[in-house]
Amino acid sequence: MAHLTPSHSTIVLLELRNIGFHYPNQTSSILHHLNLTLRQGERIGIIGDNGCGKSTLLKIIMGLIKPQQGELILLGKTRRNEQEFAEIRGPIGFLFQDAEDQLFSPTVEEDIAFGPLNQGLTPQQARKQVHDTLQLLGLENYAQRLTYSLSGGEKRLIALATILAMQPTLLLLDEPTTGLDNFHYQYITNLFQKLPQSMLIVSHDQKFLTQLVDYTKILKAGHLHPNHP
Amino acid sequence: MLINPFALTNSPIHQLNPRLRIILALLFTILTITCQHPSSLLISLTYTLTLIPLAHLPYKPLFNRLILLNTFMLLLFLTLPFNTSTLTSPLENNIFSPGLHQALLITLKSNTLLLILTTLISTLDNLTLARTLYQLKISPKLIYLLLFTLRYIELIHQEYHRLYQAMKIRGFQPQANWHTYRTFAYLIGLLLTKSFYRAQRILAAMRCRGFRGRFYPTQDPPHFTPSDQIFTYFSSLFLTIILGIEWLI
Ligand SMILES: Nc1ncnc2c1ncn2[C@@H]1O[C@H](COP(=O)(O)OP(=O)(O)OP(=O)(O)O)[C@@H](O)[C@H]1O
Ligand SMILES: [Mg+2]
Repeated sequence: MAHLTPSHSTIVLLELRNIGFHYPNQTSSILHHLNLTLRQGERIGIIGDNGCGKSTLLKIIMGLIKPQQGELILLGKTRRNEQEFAEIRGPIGFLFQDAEDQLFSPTVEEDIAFGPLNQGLTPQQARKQVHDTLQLLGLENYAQRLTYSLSGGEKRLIALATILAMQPTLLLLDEPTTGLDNFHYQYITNLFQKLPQSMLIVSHDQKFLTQLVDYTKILKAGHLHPNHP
Repeated sequence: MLINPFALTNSPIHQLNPRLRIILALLFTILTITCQHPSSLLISLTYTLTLIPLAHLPYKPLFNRLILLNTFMLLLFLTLPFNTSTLTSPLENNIFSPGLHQALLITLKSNTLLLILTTLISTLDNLTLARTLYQLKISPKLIYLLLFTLRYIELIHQEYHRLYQAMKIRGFQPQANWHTYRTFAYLIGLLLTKSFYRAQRILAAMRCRGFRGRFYPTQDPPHFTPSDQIFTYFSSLFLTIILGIEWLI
């Protein structure tokens, strides 16, 4: 809320130019001529109808699916192939819409440590990172829990921890508040307000968005429009 | 829901050094497969039988495994004793003896193997197994193959439960009719496609967190503890006896 555009730095973290995309088995494009710029410190919300392509857009930014058209400039470089995208995973953290798919290690501790270890931390440093992240989220006593036995909301919180543990500069959040109880909803809202990261937040929750983002855009008919209520 | 219930408990065996466990399992497996003497087979069986109580294995899944294996072995007993052509010792014109002997040997060997692998290897969770194999300088490609195969089986299993529950809450009861056959055909079809996409999404999740084809240990490679040492002596004793029997007799 308090983030006003002029105070933002001029460093552009993410720039999408003219993105066009359709799934191979579909005839019409989901996204076309889509443009978006996000600067360091900025927080942008994205809203839009079910199935309009919000999650698809985030997957394109992460390089998980390749657009047929357009250019992605992430963290100062054009990204085209897998190798170039591999460099941004970590600095850009992505919270999946479905947390079920995001956890794959037997214990919470192992799962959260996976990212930091891939970033080259030693086992001790990684364990400390796990501990610090859990503490940040108020989930200290979850370290030894088995991931498959967590509830839906717990899985979401742990999935968030796995991303924060990699100390990203930009967060892509796909409906971060779904499935959270009142307490954790408030907790996450307050936490996000305090976090230093730039964010691109997809959400259907207007109340949540107005508390966090500088402005929202609507994804409609394949591109992003300014949101004038 | 979980495919490997043996890795979830904790016990003296679970505490042992994973590398030691894998190496011992390998040695005992090779010896059990190749041994000629029934007495060395009995010694390897005794070895695993002493390990089972130490491993605090959940009994139900263990029995299920054994029952599955031995149902298959039953087929051997039904066929091998009457198959005289391929087996040796034709002079003894007793049609049971060589075939039955063979069937008994195979049954004993496979049960021993199953128990060895269950106590020493199944008690490792997938990631620990992968990491340990990595430390043992096994080709990473083979390790991923193993790891993703295990993961895939687990996913199919989970999806099956989820879909079957979704069917049950809408009143589905399997019967001998077309509706049931068609539903099961859909179930299997859906199962394979869904698990395939799910596996892809999980690989995507791993890539998002910087996975580039290497697993790093969360712990430093475990030290060799005094109990590892004791276990090594204990196992070596059995190994020596088996080798002794095989060579000397
Ligand atoms: N793997 C896929 N193959 C083919 N079509 C897909 C695939 N994934 C999504 N789609 C289709 O693409 C469209 C956009 O999907 P997407 O998941 O991006 O929507 P969304 O905006 O995130 O919706 P929601 O608000 O429901 O999460 C949908 O119509 C969907 O059916
Ligand atoms: Mg979505």
